[in-house]
Amino acid sequence: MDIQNVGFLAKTLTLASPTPADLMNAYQRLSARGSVAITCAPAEVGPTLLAAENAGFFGMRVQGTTIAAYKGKEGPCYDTGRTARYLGSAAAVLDDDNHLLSGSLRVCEKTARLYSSNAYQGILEVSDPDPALLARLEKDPAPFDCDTFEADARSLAESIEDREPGLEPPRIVFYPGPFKALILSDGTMVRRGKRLLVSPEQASELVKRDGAVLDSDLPQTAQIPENFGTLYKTEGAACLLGDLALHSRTEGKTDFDALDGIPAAMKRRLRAVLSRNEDYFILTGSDPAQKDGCCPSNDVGVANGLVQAGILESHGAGTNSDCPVTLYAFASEIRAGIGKPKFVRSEAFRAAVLHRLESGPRWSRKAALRLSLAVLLAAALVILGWALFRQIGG
Amino acid sequence: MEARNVRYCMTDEGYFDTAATALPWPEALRRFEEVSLRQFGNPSSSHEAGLQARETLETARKAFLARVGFADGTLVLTSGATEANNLVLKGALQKGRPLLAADVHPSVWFAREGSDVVETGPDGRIAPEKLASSISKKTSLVSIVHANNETGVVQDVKALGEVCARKGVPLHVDGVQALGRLPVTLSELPFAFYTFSAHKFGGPRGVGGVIVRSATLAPQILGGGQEKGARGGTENVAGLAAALTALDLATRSLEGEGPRLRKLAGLLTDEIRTAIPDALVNSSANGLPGLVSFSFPKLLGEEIVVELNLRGFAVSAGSACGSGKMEPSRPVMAMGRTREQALGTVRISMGRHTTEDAVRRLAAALRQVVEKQKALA
Repeated sequence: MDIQNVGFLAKTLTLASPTPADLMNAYQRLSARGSVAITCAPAEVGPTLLAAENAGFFGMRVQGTTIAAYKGKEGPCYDTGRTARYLGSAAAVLDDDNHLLSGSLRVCEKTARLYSSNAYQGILEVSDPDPALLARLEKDPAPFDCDTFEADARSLAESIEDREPGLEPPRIVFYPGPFKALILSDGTMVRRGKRLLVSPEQASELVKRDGAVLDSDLPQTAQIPENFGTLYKTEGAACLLGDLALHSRTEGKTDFDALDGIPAAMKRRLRAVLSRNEDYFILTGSDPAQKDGCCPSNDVGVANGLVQAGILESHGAGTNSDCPVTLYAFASEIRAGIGKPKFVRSEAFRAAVLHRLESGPRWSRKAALRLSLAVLLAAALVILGWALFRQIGG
Repeated sequence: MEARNVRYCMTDEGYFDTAATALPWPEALRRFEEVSLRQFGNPSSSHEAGLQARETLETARKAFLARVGFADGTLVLTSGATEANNLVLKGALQKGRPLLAADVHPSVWFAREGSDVVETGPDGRIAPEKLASSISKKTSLVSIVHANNETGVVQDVKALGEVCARKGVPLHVDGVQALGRLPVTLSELPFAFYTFSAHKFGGPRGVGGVIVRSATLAPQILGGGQEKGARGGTENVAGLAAALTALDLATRSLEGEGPRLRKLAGLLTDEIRTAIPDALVNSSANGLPGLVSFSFPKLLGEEIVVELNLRGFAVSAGSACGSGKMEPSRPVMAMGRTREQALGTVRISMGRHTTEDAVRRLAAALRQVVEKQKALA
């Protein structure tokens, strides 16, 4: 830990690969409006962001392998008549103090000052204070009701629009901050610090207006964003609290190649689920691979193969029939708990599946490598044969 | 326990599976508790507690028989209808070849191997002349269902019983769905054995019986000598007392409930016929009140049940797994449906809790589910 401004409390700190405890400690040692510049390895960005959030920092922004984080959200809320306006492409943004800005929001003086800092430059517009209210700030401050989170979340949930998955393949975006999350008009939650699959139109807007970065890596290594609209139905405003990453799909588990070889009937079924915006489909029978299974069904075998490939997820429907009845949804969309399962749609993942179903097989890295090896082997055999022929002939 | 304060485990209005088990009458459960606590003695004991229990048991037995209009009959208590049907059929198998209606419950159909079968017509009913021609010299018993549990079809027990009487063959009537849900006066019906189960009319589980006219039963549970030797085991005194309360309430509600449930069933049938023109209706307007059976060709009833459950509605399918593959509903097949049609059978059965609003919501959900299943098939 390198302390740049030495004193009773530091103004700026530079931290290299800090542990959560280091970040807690740094937060305590910073002055009221201090900041930290954190450097870390690419793989450490996510955990470091979470640790900074948990330590109490706000307005984190990732630039390469450096994270800028700020202190200053503590303190009372007083009204000075100020308003903040978000200028980006999302329907709403969630800051690190659980303010949900959908368009304009009345904010207290403390939040207005935070929003006027470097962290939010260019993305928020903050109005000037009302002189009369500002004059009262020192001796007779007007209280401000900060507790609008639940109501703001409710009106945001009501404004979410359904969007049909498009045919274009999704893009991977990385949102660097300063907000904890952006909620797009269809409910897609773009979490800061994560590589997420979104539609091409959404990606383009996020890059243009929110400073997001496009990533060209393989889609199966990106994560699927949660949808606020569906999460709100089951969890209410609480779905915006916590680290917002608990439900995320783990990276690198989806093998889209598995869709190429499935029978036409299953392709039709998946297309129908997607085009009708259904949460799931149901199949009756057991996997033919299962010994002594009741009512063997090839469809069940195919669907279970897609479960193995990380494309589908299954849930026993719990009927009294001896023949198993199984419910299949796209991977990570089932929220099974006590009672009936609930579903949270991942539109970007659905778009990726639809794109693959429409575009058909493509060369995967593995297949390309295999072909290259085969070509090399064939060439080597030809050369070897030719050499032998020459030797024998000579 | 106040009836109006009772909340059942699922949304009452979404429960459309009364034929599987009816919502219990709170008064019946209260009676069960009262008798269990106060007349806890063993009816076979000679002390005061035992004598009190015996008196309660016999009083309830007489009242039960009186309530079904058969005060002169004998009631042999069992653990339910499955045991009661087994008790009748096992005895009949010992005497010859029972003749089973094609739509009997599995608790009767188990005897299929040593029995003959009389088919039902396309309307699910057995023609008396068909029954007459099916009875042979070897026939030891005719077994029919009063009101079918899957289609709600009600047989003309009187006409069929008269055929049996003419041929000198005892008639067993499985009355599980009929008792407490249809106006029944057993003295008018020419049966030898009439079986029932209390939970189908809102009584407790584990209580059923055989009402016997004159024939004798071959005991299957031995030891103890209870029920005059017809069925060993300590009698369920509280169960019978509660069943009597439930039967009393169910029977008294029939005058209003019967027409109301028929009207609701008609509403549902009309809505589904309009919304899903290829739906086949297996039930009839003059069948069991509030029971509607649909077959949706090329779909699976079990999957429709799961879909409706996820939408908050409880219904039943008639299919089951047999010999490693899905077997369609036998009573529906007996009405001449193809396998493909019968596999898509769904039974919807209403009760005193069912409202018109719930029926309309179920119709809308069913339409949605069928459209989805067709699109995803």
